[in-house]
Amino acid sequence: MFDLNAEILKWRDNLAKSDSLDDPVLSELESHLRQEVESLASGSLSEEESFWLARRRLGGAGELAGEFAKINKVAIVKNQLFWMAAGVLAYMLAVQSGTAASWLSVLLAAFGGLRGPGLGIVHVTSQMVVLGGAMYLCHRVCMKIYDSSGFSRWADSRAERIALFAALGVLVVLLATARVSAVGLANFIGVDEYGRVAIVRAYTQLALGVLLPVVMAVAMVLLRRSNSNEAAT
Amino acid sequence: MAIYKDLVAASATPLILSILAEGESYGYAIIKRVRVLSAGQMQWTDGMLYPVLHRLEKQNLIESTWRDSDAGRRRKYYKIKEEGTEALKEQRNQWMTVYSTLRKLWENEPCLT
Repeated sequence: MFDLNAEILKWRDNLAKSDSLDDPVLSELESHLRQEVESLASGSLSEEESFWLARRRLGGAGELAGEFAKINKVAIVKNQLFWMAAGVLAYMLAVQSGTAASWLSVLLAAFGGLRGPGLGIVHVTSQMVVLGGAMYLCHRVCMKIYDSSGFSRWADSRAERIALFAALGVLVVLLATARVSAVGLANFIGVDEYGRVAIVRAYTQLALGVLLPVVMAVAMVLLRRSNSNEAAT
Repeated sequence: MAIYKDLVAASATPLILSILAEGESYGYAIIKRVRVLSAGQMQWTDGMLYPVLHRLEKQNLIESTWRDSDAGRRRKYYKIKEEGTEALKEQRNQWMTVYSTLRKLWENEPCLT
């Protein structure tokens, strides 16, 4: 059974993903769409056929977004800056999660009696695993926000602002954990042993410093490619 | 005969301002009116009207309010402003100049088709 309201909601959610189409614009377009459906359905078309035709007459999401984008350039740039800042924050969260986890696990391993190269291995493994996990988590959260159709208005609501500041709080905790663990480790295993861990850490950071930008660049190319594929279809 | 796309786009502003000069209206009705006036020969993709309306509002030529229609449908109504009437006068002069120039040229060979 064709459910007009559900279809209109789906159509609206899809348009809402665009930077340039905000809520008032969507309401206006919806009002138009409904009137067109009503007018077409009063003829020989079914409600479902009327919806498809009315939607087609109104124009595609890309077309509409493109036209509105021309008049809302400033708002769109601001929105993009917002997400850039969000990206930097997410990146810092991921990197600091890795750092905090690595120091904490080395400290715990040292408490457990581990010494020598083993500490270095614990360090590298925990950092990589947690960093990867945190990045994946950031990706999932972003996709969830994107799918929720509130993409262009995220951080408008109170709950979302609280979530944003909670993320900052987590970042501070991560930074503190890393520093406290590192100092604790140096005091616990002595400076010589700590120096060996520090050497491993230097190599890990070199590897990450090279690897992460490469991952980012590849991700950017892939995103651009999937974008142009979407535009082509 | 379909009208050349750029010409349709260029005429959107004077068309909308002229329709609103007759009285307050809303997107759906404006599109219907253009369709009837041009006997269906000026076809817009319906959605393309709205960005133009929003641009005109941003330029302070028209203003809008959300209201319920008699049938209980929520609609955004547009009204021309003083500045819009002025802009329309200017647009009108420009279009008339183009029109009279072309007419002078075409008067000599009235039957092109």
